[in-house]
Amino acid sequence: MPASLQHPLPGGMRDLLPEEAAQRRALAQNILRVFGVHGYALVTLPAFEFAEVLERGLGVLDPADVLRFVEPESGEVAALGPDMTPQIARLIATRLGDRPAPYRLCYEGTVLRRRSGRARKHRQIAQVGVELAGVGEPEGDLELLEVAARALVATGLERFTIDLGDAGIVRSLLPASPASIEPSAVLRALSRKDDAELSELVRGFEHADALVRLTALHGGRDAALEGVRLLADTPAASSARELLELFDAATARGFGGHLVVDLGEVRGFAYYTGPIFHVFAQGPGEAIGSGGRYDELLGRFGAPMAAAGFALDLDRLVWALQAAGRLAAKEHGVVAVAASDTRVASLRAAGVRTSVVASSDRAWEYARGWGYSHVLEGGHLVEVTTGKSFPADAGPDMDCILDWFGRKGA
Amino acid sequence: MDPPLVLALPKGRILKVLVPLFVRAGIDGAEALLVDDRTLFRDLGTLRVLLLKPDDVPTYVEYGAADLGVCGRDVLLERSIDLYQPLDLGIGRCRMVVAGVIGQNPPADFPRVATKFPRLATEHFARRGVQAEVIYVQGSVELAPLTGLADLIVDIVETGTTLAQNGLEVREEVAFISSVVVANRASYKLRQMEIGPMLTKLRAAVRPS
Repeated sequence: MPASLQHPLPGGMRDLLPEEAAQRRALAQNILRVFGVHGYALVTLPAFEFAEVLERGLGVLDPADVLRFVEPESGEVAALGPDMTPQIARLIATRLGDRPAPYRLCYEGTVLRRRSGRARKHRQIAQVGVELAGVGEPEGDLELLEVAARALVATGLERFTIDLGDAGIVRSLLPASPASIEPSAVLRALSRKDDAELSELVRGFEHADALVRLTALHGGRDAALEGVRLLADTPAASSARELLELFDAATARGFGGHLVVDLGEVRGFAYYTGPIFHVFAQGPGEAIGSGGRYDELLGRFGAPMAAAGFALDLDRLVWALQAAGRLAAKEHGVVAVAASDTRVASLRAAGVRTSVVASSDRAWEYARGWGYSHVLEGGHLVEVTTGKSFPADAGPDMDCILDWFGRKGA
Repeated sequence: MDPPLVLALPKGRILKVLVPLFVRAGIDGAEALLVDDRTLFRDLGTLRVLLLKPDDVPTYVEYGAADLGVCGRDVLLERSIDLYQPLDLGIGRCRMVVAGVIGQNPPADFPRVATKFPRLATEHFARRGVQAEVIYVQGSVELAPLTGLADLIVDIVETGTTLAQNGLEVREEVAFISSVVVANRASYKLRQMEIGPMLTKLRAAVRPS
């Protein structure tokens, strides 16, 4: 029996081996750097919190997806963070009250779910994200869209689509509906763009036509414009207008090329209060990131203020980058044979990954097995894949080598 | 250069009805899909068609291995699969019903129900406040009440002939079923330029105006 079967993992959990972990780390750092230069301060959140606190701010997630346990110390039910947003909301409300608004925070972390979902959805999800509290619509939304677009560009992903919607549209159309209409069934049909089912459900309702036509209102600026026209005489008129204005403002900032709109998007309907967006790219059949405005969230933690945020799913982002052939090249590094000389020290000082092995025959196997690009043996540095050899004596040779690794970003 | 748009279609009964619809929609070479040459996929111009077991269609689309597919609402409901369903093709129409032996009343409390759709059956009885024991079977569902395996069945009925032949009758409607176009969420957004016009053509073929 292979050892992997003797020590299994719970379903939906996985390890990241060195190459993948390094890739993931580099990717997250890249994104966090973009968040950082836009003023988003990194915070680290606890692995679990009291369920009662967390669940106040549970967003699009089904409460049944939360992993809970009884915390022995207090005897209270605790939950492993299923989503970072409620934790950030708690943090802003309870810890940062003495600092001036707005709050720009970012995080990198792992969220956990009780059930593994469908289609390669893991139970352990690595995310990076931002929260912007204290800036309302539309400035806050525009800022988030821009930060998201810049972060994605920084990862090397060139082709991606940000699908922009507004929860206010359906929110304002639905309450006017008679009691005979089951909102959850309407929302389900809308979220699946199932116009046949939806027509049946809303028959006779005054905004029936508008609701059914929402299923087809997606695409470029034309769709947003069409929405403004279609919804002009409904309670959703202002939301539709705001969506078009946001689209135009984003275009003016220069990232309109990535934007599409979808006026019928209702995912997370109960949670989001304004603009919502999902990021798609070729590869994973699902959104690689999503976010939106939840102006009611902070209030649930006792600090009512406008807030919005988004998170990127690192697993799916890696998948998209792989599909686009844009995943950073293999790492560099040197295996040095018994060379505890100054060259090893200078390689390390220059940030080059360097390990030392005792004998020459071990060096090659070791370099291949652990993804090192070069072997340093005697007076030569040899490239592992090609066998190309470069003189590598201390002094000018070494300066040249260090310079080369420096350019490769090792 | 983008890869071809991938369409997953169910082999068998539905395909025979689907092909004339595709021909009407002007999808080049659709007739060839009815020729069984045992290939697993066909290329129709820029469209790649996968021929799958009906139950596998939503799986391919959900994972993004296919961008679009055609499948029955029964499969989507039973597996609660979250895909866009932008077009009801109006073919493969049938009803999902509760049926029992003619003239024989099931026990009001805790009936046994045989079905290929355990989730839908469970939900249906739960909604009505009936605690039912749902028994999963893969086929020949009509046999269950005749042999004492179950009191009732939940199954798909097209004309009701099979039920009548086996001395069974419809007791309740559970859902109306038809075939729908399903689309992967990401593909639907990323490849709208190709998917949109194709759906428009299909929609026109479904409801000739």
